[in-house]
Amino acid sequence: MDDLVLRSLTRSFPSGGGVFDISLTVQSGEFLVLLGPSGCGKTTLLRLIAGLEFPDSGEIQIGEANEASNKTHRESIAMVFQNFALYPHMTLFQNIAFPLKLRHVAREETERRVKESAAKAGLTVDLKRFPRELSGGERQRVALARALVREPEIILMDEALASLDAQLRASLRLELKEFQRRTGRTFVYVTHDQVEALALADRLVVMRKGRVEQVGGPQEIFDCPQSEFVGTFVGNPPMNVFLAEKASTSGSLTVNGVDFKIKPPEGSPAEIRVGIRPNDLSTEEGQGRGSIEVVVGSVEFSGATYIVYAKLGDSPICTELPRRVEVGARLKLFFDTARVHLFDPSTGKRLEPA
Amino acid sequence: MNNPARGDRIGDLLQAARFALNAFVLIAATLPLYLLAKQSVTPELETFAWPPHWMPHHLTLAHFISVFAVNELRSAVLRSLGVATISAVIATLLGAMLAHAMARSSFAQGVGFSTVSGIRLLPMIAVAIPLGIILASVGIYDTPSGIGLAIVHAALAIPTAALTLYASFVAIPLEIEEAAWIDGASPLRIFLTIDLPLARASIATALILCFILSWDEFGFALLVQQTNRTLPPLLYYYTVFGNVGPASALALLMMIPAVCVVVALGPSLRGALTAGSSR
Repeated sequence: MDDLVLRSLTRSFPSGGGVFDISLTVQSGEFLVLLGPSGCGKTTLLRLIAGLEFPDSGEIQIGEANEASNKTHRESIAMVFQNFALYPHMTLFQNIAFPLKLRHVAREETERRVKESAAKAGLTVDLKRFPRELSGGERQRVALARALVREPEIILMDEALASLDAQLRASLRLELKEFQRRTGRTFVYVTHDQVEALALADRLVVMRKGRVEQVGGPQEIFDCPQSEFVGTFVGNPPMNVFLAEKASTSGSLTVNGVDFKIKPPEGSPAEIRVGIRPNDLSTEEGQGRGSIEVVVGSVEFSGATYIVYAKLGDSPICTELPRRVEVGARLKLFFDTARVHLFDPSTGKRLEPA
Repeated sequence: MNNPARGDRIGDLLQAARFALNAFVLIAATLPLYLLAKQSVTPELETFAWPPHWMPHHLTLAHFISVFAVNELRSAVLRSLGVATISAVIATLLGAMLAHAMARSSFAQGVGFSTVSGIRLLPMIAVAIPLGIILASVGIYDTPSGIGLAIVHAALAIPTAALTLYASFVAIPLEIEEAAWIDGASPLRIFLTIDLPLARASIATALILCFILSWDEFGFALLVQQTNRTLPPLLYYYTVFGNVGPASALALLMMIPAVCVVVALGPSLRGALTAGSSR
């Protein structure tokens, strides 16, 4: 199967939205997730790939450019819509068989392929029923089966789990990943839910205001965000970010007078944004660890851990701790200096410590 | 209200007033129908009795029989049925396409609404003579089949069909059409296999409204089908030439489609008639 290549794709809307100069290669068989806040252009990008929108400039290519391929673009792509977009007046069988009917596939083969893809999508209900008689999860399976039935190379999904309830979403997420592994198809999946994105993606594309902020594996995106936006958008509870100053004596960074024991890179601006994830802060002491003292403001129980909202001087700070702490208590928190992220305050780009 | 008895009395008066008003409206609406029905079964001679009889003294079915026995009448009934059916089908199909375009593109919506309202504001009969000339030049003026009139009626009915269907096309999610496109369907295919079936209730309503529109239409029918008449002009000639009995019978028969429609789709029709009145 072939890679999907996007070359400096631009599509702008009069409202100011759209996507700008996006270049991306989606490898065959990979689960690519487009992640970003609403209005970041991820759906526009997906619709461009689907052919539902046309780019102002740039191009989309599936497979080798010089290869004589008789498959059209639309032929290689299937899509699952946010609300599944099943045909309400057709039975499940007719829904799944619709792409085959358009291609004049013989009756026996249609029947075989419909049953096959229904089974692959985990659809167990009677195919003579109508979409309105199904639950959300079953509709999702029908939409998947319909996308799969004509054996496309790429399956596009637009917030395909967003309209389901939380429990079903989690179980379908697992199943979807299984499904993708089993079928070996390329998936391009749009979501604004970073938990879903981290769980599903082989590779993540974080988007903001129509541009790509960072492309990488989930671990890489989480551990090494290339901008403050990516750092704070991915991860829950979100990353704590402070404005730090260079101490005149030691040359290391201080936040509200607290020394973080990190030296900024050469020639960096006087003020730097310092980010640290809530789960990278702990009460355990250790060698070569930085420490800060905070005052506990409020505590939330999240099941496995306690989310503690505290104050570092005047700045709010959030941490995840394994045990309960008293509100109003003074708490000493330790962190690994290697897990602290530095960002340029003017560009938002990542800086590596000296 | 500190005196409950007084409140009750006002309530009773209101109730009585409402009853009286209902009775008046009912009588005003049904009296002409009654007279028509009476005339249609009264023998010719008794029709002009003075003072008029409230109840017929003799009954006859002769007028109804004559409607089907007289060749002119029978062919007019068939012609009217044919013209109304053909024009309803054409108008609904073209109206559906217009409505779909209006529902899907803001440009088409702007153009569509102004054209549709424009056509409705235009005094139709003003274009009758050029229309007659065009029909004559293509050779479909005053034909026995009434095809010329059917086309004219279809043109008249397109705005009605489009406005009736507009709301149901707006209600179809765009995603469903996009899904069909990605599944490999052509735009025409999407329209025929996705949109039309999903709007079938409104399609039925539009068909019926357009049918009635043609069935009742008098002005163009009079001009375009001068000798091969449809029912409304024929009824007019019968009345002015004093054939009151057969005219009454014919008038009653002409009401049948309208009555059927009101009985069959009263509730849904009410929605369809108001749809498009305020967009």
